[in-house]
Amino acid sequence: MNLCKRACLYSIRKKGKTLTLLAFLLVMATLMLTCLSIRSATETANTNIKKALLGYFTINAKHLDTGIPEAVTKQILSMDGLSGGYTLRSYTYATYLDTQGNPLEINTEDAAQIPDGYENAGRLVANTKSENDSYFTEGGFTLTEGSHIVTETGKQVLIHEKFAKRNGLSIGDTLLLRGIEDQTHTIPVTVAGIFINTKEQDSIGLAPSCDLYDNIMFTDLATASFLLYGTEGETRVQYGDFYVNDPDDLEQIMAEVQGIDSMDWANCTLTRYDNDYQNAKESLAGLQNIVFIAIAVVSLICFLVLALFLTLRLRGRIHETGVYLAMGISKGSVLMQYLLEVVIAAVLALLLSFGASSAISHQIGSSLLSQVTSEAYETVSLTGDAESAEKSSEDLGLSEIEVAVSAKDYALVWAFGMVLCAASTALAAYPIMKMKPRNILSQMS
Amino acid sequence: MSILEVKGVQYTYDNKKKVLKNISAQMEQGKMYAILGPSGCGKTTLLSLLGGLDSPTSGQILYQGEDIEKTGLANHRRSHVAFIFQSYNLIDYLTPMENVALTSKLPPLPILEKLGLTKEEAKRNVLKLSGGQQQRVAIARALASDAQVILADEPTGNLDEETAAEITAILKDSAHKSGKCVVIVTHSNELAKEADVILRLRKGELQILERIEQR
Amino acid sequence: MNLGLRAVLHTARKWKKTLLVFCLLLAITTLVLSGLAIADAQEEQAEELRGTTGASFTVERNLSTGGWSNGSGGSYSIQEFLTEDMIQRIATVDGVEGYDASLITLPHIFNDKGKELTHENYSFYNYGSYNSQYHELFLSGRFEVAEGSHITDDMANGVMISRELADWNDLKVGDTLTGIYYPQNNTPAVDMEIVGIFDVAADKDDQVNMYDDSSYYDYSSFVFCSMEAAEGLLKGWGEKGEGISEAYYYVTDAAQLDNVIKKAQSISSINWNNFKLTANDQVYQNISNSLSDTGTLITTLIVVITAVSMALIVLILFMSVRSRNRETGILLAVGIAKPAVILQYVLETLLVAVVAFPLAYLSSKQVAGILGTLFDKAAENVIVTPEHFLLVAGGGGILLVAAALISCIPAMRLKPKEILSQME
Repeated sequence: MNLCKRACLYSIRKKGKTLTLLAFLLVMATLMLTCLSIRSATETANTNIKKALLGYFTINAKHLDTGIPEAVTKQILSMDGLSGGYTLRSYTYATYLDTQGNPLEINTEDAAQIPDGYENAGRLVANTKSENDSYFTEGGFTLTEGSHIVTETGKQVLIHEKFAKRNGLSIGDTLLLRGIEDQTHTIPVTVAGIFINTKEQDSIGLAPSCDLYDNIMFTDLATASFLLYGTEGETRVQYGDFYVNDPDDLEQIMAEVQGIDSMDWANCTLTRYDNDYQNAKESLAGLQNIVFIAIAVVSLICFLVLALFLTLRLRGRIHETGVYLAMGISKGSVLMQYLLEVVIAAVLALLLSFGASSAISHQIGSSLLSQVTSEAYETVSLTGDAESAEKSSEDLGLSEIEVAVSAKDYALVWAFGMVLCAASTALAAYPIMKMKPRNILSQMS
Repeated sequence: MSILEVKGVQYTYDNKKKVLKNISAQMEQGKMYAILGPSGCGKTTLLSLLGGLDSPTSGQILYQGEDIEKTGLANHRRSHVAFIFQSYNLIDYLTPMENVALTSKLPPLPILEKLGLTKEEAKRNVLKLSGGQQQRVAIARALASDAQVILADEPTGNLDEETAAEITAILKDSAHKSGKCVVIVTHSNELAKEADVILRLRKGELQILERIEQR
Repeated sequence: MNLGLRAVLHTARKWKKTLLVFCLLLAITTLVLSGLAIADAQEEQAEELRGTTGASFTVERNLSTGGWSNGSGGSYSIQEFLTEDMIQRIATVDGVEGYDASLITLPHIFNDKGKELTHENYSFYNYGSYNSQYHELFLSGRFEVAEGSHITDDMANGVMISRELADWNDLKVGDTLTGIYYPQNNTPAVDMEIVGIFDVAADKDDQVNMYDDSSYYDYSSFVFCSMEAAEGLLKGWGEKGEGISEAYYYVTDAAQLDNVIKKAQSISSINWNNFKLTANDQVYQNISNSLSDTGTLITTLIVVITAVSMALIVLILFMSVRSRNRETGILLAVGIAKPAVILQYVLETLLVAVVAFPLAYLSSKQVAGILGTLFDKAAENVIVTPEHFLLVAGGGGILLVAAALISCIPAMRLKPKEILSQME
């Protein structure tokens, strides 16, 4: 009777023992798999945190005659590691005219001075999305009528309520913007929205007329590009903020950006903004390490427990070993038989564990999901500000956390498990195999 | 007066095979009984019934005139009977002395010495003793208990002839000198010859209740 | 022979088997203890991370409930300013880690020889500050301390200047400067000592900044001075029209922000009708979901580890009792009662546990120690506490007894005759 047949017969006939071993291995494999799937999930969570800490860099091309050409913007956005979040900005001044070319009236009363040539001019702010401009996010501006500027080429403006009243403008009206230095650039725009400022401007009496809140207009990037650079059909911008997925890559991405040779980088300023990440970096790494520690401890102890368990099992078979040896079956063959039995159980356990850990992972995944929902609700109720809570999770474009057993993890557990079984069996069998057959038989009870 | 009485006992295995058919017998203290028969005739079943390890399908087992079902099988096992097995069944992590002490408050050494074990052997690992000595320990364990009935299942089955004879003699002495009721199940005629009474069981049915008065 | 003695003898004589069970128990208990310590460490680490998000609340004058008055520069609010007493009182609320407020003055600054410093603007833009490390410009990373230290609320006349200003005027930490708000109006001169020099990391050239007063000053003209010094500069001029209109409070744990705010609002000596309180925890809100996901995952991991450990212990005991069917049979056959046999097994398990549990406590501390050397920062928090031990010892003990009892069920359900037949 060869050792394979012996191993199979033992596994089948000694159902109780095989089942116990199977249960043991199944539990171990499931533990390992679940641990690994949890680890990849925490990695996703970690990536999400890094992304949510919003590391970005700003290109300041104010001093470049060309600004940032559209081609360069596209090239940067196509680079790896960018989260896809970006803000393009341009700032200029323009003279405000009505459709007949008559100047519109601005607020000069609160101004420190009215610069020459700016008698009917104001600051023009162009932003990819006007609602994300710092005037609105930090400066206390709010839109009271109409809608924000969301397109690059809409030829629209947002005007201050006071400016609208002063000049009898309302939504849908058209006015002209004319460049200050280069007066040949004139562009008609329509009023898309009217805003007010909720905070007083503290530089009243200090700021020139064109910087006063009620003389500011927001427009789209293409309009600003036309006024600044005279481009038509191409949108050039002065500033670009580009958000990255991983603030750790910021340095490298910035270097890569500076490798784009169609730009005169010497006259641009690149600034990195990852203060929130730098603050959190250490704690975040610590958190990730903790997961690693947990996995390491689990793996180590799994190995120990398995080795001990198999030792316990083999000790119960000293008698059998003695009988085999007495029959003249070689030690190697006996060892192989024991190994084979464990491997048979291990294969079954590993197959089953995929289902088991998938089920557990699924459970964890859905509990995470319900938690997120309940938490979002909590935030809303506490701050009473439903909009901001919703907005934040939407804007960041975070990946959904998936707790699933990946093929890689599964393969890893297979390899690890098999090596572990072989090593443990050999280790457990070593004391018995070292004995002389005579001693083994005398130990039989 | 008989200490143990079998009264019209039937035992059916799995509702089909009748192993014992209407058996009656009486057993007294101070005598050794041998239940003799070929393999599978129901000897061990009968012994189990006597020891309260199992209940008959019908009929009664009486201990000192009382039905053991009524006084409780566990109680019967604990207080009235002691088993001796073919494979000795000693607890392997206890020494001979400790094995004897399992069931008895008496000092175990004199009992073991009486059965032929030396003081050193009495303190050794039981697995290191020879088969005969292990069986002596098992008998000592039975004798040391308060049980008046000793039930032995093939007690010499694993032993060589010489040792078997010695064990038989010890069991006989247990009956004659210590006044126990010794019931031995065996298929060995040699052993049966030594018994005061032989109960011959054949084809599951109680065929002969043979009584040979000796001396 | 009583069951206690039997239990001790079994444990001692079958020492190899005992040792194996012991090692298994030790390993598993160490695992669970380490797991508990890791779960706690995660909690602490997450708290630390939440602390780095700079969650804060702002207390400011509520202009809408105060009256307005007309002056030379247009209308201004006559709402009360924040008082020092009030600012400090809020700062003592539990959970507040640090605070700052700004009292802005536009002084001229002179060196110790009485010469006005070389700089870019008409005057300086000076923030009177309690704790400049909590000033937005530093928190956002736009300014970074290069030399010396921050302004703290125990300083009477400290001042921080920019690197450029220091270079232009050959100033260093420890030098004395004198500030005067309006030299032509004879406002008091305040002597200040340079405690720190900051670098400017931000790009001032970026026109995004241009909407307030400070925008018209070059960063090199920004100075920070102790609140007391700023108040000194204001004396005899504009005390009534100027004051602290906003204070910022940073909390230790962003998750507790709402609680801290509630506590602040319950301070009865403050007339909250005159002040507005707003929370700012944008960064925390951005990461809170992901962070709590991580927390849940790690907690789940520990729960899984614990559950599996329990399963393993039950399996091991089950095996161990199963291998003793024969002994159970013999003990029953010689008339030892079932409860006594079970109790013996339970006792044996507990004997092992009594040694294994304390040892696991030590070994898990050892594990934590090794981890500490491997991952310095994170693992510092992995501490096995006596509470963990009590929990594991208590829970483990109950589990062991339960497991031993459960393991005995199959053997105990056998009829005595079946035990006998199993023995042969």
